[in-house]
Amino acid sequence: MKEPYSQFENYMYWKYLARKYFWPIFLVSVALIFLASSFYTVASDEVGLILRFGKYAGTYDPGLHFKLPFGIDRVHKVQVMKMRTEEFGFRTKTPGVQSSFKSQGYTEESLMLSGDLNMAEVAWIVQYRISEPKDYLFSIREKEKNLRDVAETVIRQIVGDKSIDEVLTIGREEIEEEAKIKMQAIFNSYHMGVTVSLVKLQNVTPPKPVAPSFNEVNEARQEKEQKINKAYTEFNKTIPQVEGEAEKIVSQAEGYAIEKVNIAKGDVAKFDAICEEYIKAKKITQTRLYLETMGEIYRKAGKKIVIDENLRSIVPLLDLERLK
Amino acid sequence: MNKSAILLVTIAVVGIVSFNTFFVVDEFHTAIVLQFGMHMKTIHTAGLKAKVPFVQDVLHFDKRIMEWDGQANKIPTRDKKFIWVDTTARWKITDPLKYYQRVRDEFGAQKKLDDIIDGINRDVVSNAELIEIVRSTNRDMRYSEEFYTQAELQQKVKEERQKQDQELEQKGDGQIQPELLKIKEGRDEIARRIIERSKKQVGESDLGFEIIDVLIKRVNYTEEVQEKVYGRMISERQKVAEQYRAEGEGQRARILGDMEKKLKEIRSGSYRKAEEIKGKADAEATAIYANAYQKAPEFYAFLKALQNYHDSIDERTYFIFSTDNEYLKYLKHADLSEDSKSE
Repeated sequence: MKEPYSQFENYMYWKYLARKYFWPIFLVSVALIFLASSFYTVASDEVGLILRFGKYAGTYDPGLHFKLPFGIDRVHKVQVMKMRTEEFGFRTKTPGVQSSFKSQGYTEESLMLSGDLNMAEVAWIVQYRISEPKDYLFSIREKEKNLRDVAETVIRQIVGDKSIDEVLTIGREEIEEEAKIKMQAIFNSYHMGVTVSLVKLQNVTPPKPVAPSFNEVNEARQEKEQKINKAYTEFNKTIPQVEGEAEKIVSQAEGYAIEKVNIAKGDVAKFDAICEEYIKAKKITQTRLYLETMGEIYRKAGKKIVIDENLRSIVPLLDLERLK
Repeated sequence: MNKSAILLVTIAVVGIVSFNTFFVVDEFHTAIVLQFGMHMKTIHTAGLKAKVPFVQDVLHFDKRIMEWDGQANKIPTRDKKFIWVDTTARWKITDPLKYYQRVRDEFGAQKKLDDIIDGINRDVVSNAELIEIVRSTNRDMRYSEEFYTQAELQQKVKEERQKQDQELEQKGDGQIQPELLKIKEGRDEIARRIIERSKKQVGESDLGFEIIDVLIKRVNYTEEVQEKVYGRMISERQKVAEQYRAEGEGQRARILGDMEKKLKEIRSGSYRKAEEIKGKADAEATAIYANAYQKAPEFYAFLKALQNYHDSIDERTYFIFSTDNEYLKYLKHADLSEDSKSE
């Protein structure tokens, strides 16, 4: 016979094997499932809550623990140490040392009314952690959505009572603090088991169509400062300059004064000297001075014509033109 | 049949029966047991429970706080401003059986909530003025521009409102104008009203669930209103900017004016001082001369005349002498006796 075993014999063989190994395989599988489902690890930032037949049976710290197998004990792990952040009005695109943000397309979250019925785009974050894992697990179904809804409600309520200036600049810290308190109160009323650690406003801007006019205000404020400064600069530059010139004029006058007086004194001193001489010998001095001066004068003068005194009766005709 | 087969079958049968007898109710759910549709019991506590197999069914209902999130509604306020109002509610199944009987499942519950809460929102919001929905208190809002105080704003608003009151009649949804920003009730009261009415209506409808909370998540202007608000914000800011510029210009003019004044002061002052000094000096010099020449005025006159002759006569001058001249007297004689007499 070429065929080693017939089909029937094969079938009988497998049936034999199955019967022989069924129970061992079965029991081993059961044992494996038992083992696999009878312990679990809780990571270092978590706690594990055990539901035994659905009923809460304890909260367990990080480590390796045993539980009842076959799904009798079910473990729900809750990260209690991790600080979570929810972003509103923007999303961090690439976290890191220099994160980049995406704020386009989140206008729905960010646009809101201020108390003076203006509008602003507000971006903020809420940082929280799970403080009561049992409450967190059992009280609310959609935890993250609840958190976000409450956050938006609270921020809008607070911003809706502030002026646009308070929202943009001068009231930011107040808003953050109020928000933290109010959010916490609502979470507590739901027994949500969450603790808000931080509410922080990020970029708060006027709506885009309006932003240029806000910039205009800043620019105008700067312009005003600049104008005033320039005016003061000119003032401070010109006044000392003119004061200097003024002093110069006065100095010059003083110089003139001294000169004038000194010249006078000098002239007078010269006169006094001659006068003394004159008083001592009046006629002689007179005559001398006269003759000296006249001599000089006549020397300087041009033509000189002498006419005898007795010729007064004749009408003299002197052709001066011819004399030239 | 061998023992293995019997064992297997027994295990299978036991398994199927247990599977249909025992069930688990966890901490997230309540359960009701129905027998052919008839209510047998409601189970609130978690744990391993048992029922009659095959004959009885178990239904589980989430016992946690659940959320309802309605769509944003466009609602006109009492002062004719159209706004988007987006509320969200928190609710919880209190009576699973009733819940099952009245709304059947969550889909039904959400639909009921839609009807009830949307209706209440519309009702409450359209009966309130916009400012009541936005503000919670009447606290004084602070501004950073010095000349943009609350008092001035109020005044400005009053005037604007008087101007635009007629226009409001014609324009349907009205322009956004800065209101007299004081509230009578406020946002918290509006929210409270919505919550109370919702709770009441849901309670009266006896639906097996109750409302825990209603949150006004978002309130925003509609697009048309937004445009007008932008326009107002822009013009307000432009006025502020203009005011800054005007202030700057004014201060600058004042400073430069002061400077001009001071310059004139300095210059005229120095001129006066200089003239004073010169005048004094001139006077002093004159006094010095006068004092000196007074001692011998005729001699001074004599000297001065000689000096003048000297300065004024030059080579262009002709002299016509008579021999009578003092200077020329010795041309006529050489008698010295006259002179000795005058000694």
